Amino acid sequence: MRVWTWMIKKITLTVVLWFLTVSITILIILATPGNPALMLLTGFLQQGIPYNQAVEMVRAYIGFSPNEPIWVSWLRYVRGVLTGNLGLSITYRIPVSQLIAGALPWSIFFTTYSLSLTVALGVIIGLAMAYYREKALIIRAAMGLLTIFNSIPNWILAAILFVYVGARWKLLPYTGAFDPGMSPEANPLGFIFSVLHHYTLPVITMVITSLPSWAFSMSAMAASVLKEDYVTAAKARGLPSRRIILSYVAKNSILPIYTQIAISFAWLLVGTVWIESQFLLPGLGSLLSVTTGSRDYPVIIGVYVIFITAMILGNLLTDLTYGLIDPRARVEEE
Amino acid sequence: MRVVNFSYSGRASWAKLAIKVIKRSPAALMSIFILSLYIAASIAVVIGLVPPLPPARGGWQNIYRPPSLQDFPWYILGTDFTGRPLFLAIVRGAPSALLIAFLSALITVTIGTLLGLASGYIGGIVDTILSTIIGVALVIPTYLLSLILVIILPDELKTNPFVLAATLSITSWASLARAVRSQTLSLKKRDFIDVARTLGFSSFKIMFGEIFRYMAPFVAMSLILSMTGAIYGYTGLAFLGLMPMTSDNWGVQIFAAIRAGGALFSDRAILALWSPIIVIVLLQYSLINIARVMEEILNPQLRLELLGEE
Amino acid sequence: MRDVLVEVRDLDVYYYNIKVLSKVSFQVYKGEVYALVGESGCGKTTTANAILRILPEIARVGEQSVINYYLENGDCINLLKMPEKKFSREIRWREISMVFQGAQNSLNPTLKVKTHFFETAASHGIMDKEEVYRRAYELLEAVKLDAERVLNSYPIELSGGMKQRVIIALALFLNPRFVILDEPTTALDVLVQREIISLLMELKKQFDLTYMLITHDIALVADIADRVAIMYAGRIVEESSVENIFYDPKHPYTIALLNSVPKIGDFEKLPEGLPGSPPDFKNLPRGCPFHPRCKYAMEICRKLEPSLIEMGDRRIACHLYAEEVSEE
Repeated sequence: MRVWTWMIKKITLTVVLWFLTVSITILIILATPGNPALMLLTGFLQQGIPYNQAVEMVRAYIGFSPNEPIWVSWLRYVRGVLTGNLGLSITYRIPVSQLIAGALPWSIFFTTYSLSLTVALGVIIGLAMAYYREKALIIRAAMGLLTIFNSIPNWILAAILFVYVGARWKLLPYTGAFDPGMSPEANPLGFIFSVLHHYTLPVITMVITSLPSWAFSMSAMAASVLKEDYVTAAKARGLPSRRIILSYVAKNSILPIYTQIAISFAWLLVGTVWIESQFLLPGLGSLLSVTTGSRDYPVIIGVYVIFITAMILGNLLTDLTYGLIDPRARVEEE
Repeated sequence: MRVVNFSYSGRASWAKLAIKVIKRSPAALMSIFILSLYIAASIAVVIGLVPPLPPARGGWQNIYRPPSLQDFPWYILGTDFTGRPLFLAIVRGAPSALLIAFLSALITVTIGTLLGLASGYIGGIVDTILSTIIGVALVIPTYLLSLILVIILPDELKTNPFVLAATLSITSWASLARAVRSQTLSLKKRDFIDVARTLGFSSFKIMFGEIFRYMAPFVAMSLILSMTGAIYGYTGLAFLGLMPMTSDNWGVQIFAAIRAGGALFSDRAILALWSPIIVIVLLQYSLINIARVMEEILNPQLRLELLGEE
Repeated sequence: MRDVLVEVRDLDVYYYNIKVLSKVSFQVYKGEVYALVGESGCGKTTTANAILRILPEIARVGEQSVINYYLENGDCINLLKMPEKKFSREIRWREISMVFQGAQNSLNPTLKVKTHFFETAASHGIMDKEEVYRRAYELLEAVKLDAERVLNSYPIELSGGMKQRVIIALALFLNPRFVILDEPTTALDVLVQREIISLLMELKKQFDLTYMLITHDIALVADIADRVAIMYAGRIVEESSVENIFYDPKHPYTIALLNSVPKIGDFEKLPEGLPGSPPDFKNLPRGCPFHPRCKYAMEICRKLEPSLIEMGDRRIACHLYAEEVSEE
């Protein structure tokens, strides 16, 4: 029962946090010089639209009018968010929620795919690095290579892969999410394969630039776990190496860095802005990137809200599940 | 975990230890050297040793010209998308990149440490309020917010290094604040704080004197690592085309090389593509290595090992 | 002649190229409690680890070192020369096991107690889970625990004393004949210590065990040991019956050790400390490793390392007594 009360408490706190965060974000955007509503208004006025009509149009598009005090606009927008009304896109003239609904599945696919590979590979490499610390040369080389990967901003790697592996050498597809002409209804298997094929370069970009930090964290954690008494005791009891690596070292190393998943997830989401736009993939990231170019504020703010929601959800999920997998945490909560 | 009070060793042994650790790792040596190069280049630009950029010259025949020995050494990489010498543009880009990175890191670390210290040490309602603020900031990724802020900001503010630095660090202080807060909380329970209080030190002094000194190494490392984040943001936002298209922004150069230089098809703009990339990656690599070396130096067990070699 | 169970001869152990054990030699007789005593870092645990062959990766054992073990049927085997697989299958935990400092971290925090038993059994080829559960249950009851509850708990839910009993039960799981007790009572409350010790002695009688006790707790040694070996800087410096060691200590280090324990009721005499610092294995002094801290040090102590020689019913490595022996 105690576990449930803790969960409910956590979820309530999270909802409050979400509300606060979304509000503050909108406030920040509204408060910076260069109020989007004002700019939109100016744009309409410059097109010769009469003032009152322009104000109405602005209100229709964004949900707030340029003359209101900030807190009124903020309230209106927050109400809009809670009711699912995010306004209309200026460039596409369709509801923002529709645009987001179309892009969201692709983003989820991309980030989940990248995140799982990153964590899986990072953990395995990290374990290997800790275990084979003795074979200094290979480890040093691996560390050096991983540090280099860590130093490459993901958008730069995306650009390089795009230009060389994609555009020039044509080894892998570099634009779009699937081959033109493919559709899930006509050829489901082929479609899936095409999608995976097209996402290879983007995922490689994400994984190569994100896994070094996982590998390093895991390696450090595993190295200290290896020195623990229970590992020696396990060896003394005759447990085979495989069992020790999995149930003793890996299990005890992953737990403390489990919450890093939420951070990695956030970082990946931010990265999609660059990566998706580079490879012309459908998704929230490229939607954001395209609309920043055209100053399509309703969409921008809408995507923003979704991103924050996703990150808060991610945090919540990791916190909730952590309690389930680590026996120590359960006891401490009580 | 053995905890060692960092303040007791004399300065001389610090320096000796630092030198030993650095000597052990050629990568560290190289990183320090590289960073010094960047700093030297920046200083050279600021004090005027480096010539200003010549006026832009458009036209197909002027942009992305191949390297030449003209006006050595500024044309060794040819020209960029504005017809200006590429190498010169890159060198002139160093001070703003370093300045913005450093300022941003400074803001991040200052706010993070102050909030974390205050929140952890003072406790009570102050802690609750500050923790909520930290919690909110923690969820908002800095670069996402910077993205929007940068497009909203008018041009005059966009080029101001302080404003840029602030935008790039708008919520990045949050994770440091959280770490500092939990460190402060656990330190608060330790004896030496009680000793200080009994001796009559004011709360303020305790906070900054004792606790901060204990965490100073960790904070210094965060400073270096924050710089890498700021560089990522600064060049990355430029790459999205959100910054004024000036020659001396490395990210802008990469952007231009692909969009305007046809890097996809021809090798004409290849130098303009790769030079800024290498310059950025080298800087990041050096910073990361230096942070790692710092961690090694400050690792108590390693210290005892190495110092004992005498 | 008493039966020898374990014989260690000329055991040298190196960590990297630092010698941490030097020509350690002793015999453990069947049914006794043999104690290895010394300060932290003197090599007692390393000796135990060498017998169980769980030394760290960086360790090397000297070529001429021998550890002989006498099986039930009288066969004698050199443990150091056995192939790893055979040793793991037949000796480790089956013939020889170890009771660790349970109050510390000897149990995997993420596994339930019963899983520890299951995996130990599985590693030795015993796959019948019900059988394992039954035996674990018996053992936990034998160590005076609520077996059902403990088996299904995680280590964090148990107190220090309870964890120690679990460690003991685990050690006895495969019916070993020789059990090494490595600081079995350190970090436990005094009352719990007493309970654990009497439990261990009961079990010894019940299961016909031979103990090697490793500790720095002299009172514990006085309580249960039959014979004692004092170690310093990776060497045995004195070995004799527990009575001899306590009532007639001969080696200066032994004397200093005993003097450093306050005696209840004796208010005049303050415990004496030991001057100097613990030995630095990277930089051991020439001659006897103890001479810098020895108040009886002579010229020869600085030059020549004394070897462990027999003197009546004891062995001692000290130049003070070398003449006595040669005189006999």
